[in-house]
Amino acid sequence: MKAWWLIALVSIVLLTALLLPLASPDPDGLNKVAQDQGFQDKETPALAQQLPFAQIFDSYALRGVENPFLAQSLAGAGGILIVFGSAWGLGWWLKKRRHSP
Amino acid sequence: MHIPDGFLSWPVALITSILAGALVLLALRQTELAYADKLIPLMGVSAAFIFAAQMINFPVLGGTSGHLLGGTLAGILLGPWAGTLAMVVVFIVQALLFQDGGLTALGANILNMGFIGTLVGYYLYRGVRSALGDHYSWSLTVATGFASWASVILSSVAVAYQLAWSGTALLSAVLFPMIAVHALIGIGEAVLTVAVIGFLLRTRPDLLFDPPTNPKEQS
Repeated sequence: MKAWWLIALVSIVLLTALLLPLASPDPDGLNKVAQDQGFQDKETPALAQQLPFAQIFDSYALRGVENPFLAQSLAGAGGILIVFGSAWGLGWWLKKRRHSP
Repeated sequence: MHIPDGFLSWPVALITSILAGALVLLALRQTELAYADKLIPLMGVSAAFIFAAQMINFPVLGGTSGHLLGGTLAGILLGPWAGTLAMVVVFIVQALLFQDGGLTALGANILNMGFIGTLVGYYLYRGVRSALGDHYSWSLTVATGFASWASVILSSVAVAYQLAWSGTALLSAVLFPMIAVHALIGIGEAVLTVAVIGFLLRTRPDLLFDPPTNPKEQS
């Protein structure tokens, strides 16, 4: 099966869209400890909010989409494809470097 | 366990960034030297899977959630160096595009979940596997579960020390709570990692970085 990765990629995008509405909204381990120990207020707004990407993504939600699950699924799909392309590109670049003198 | 902006002092942010930069250069060099070309798609798919899984928090006890970190999974699939690179791609995209994990904490997050999760996790897995018998698939499964669980706890210990060195919290106040909650989150990490590796072991054992010599062995 030559295009196994394409099947895997589409499955990841679809599975993410299906599971996102079920994801727990509770704080993660570090945030929970920060709340319990009283240092959560030391968190400052993310510096990345100054970047142009913040005009497109508001955390894991695509801006301008009303339905929160759709906004999350679209942001998730975008992120999945960007990560996939970047990691593939990096592997391809390293391969090219290895094969060139 | 992504550290946000504001939790690290500038010396800790600077030192962890330098160390992470050195790690990335080393991983690039190692991967360039020895990496099977046919595994390039697997690098893309693994990174995409880990990014997706990190979006989906599962509940643990006491109003807390956790998600797959995936470092050990990346190491088992891609080997320690390409696995580290796949994780680095995930953290950079999360920090730059999705404001998840601070830019000042990017180095620390790469060290905690990339270096500890992938490199330390991978060598824990190798160690347990060779101790139990390299060619059994059950020893591979036990090693996968243990290494992924332990790597999450070790990552949480690293976070606790970085918070303490930054003066954000007292070590005595954060070390035990971090270990306690991540011992639970680590169970989720182990279950998910074993599920993915177990599935591949049955369907595509050739995709593992070092598959058992006899993948059909079930003793």
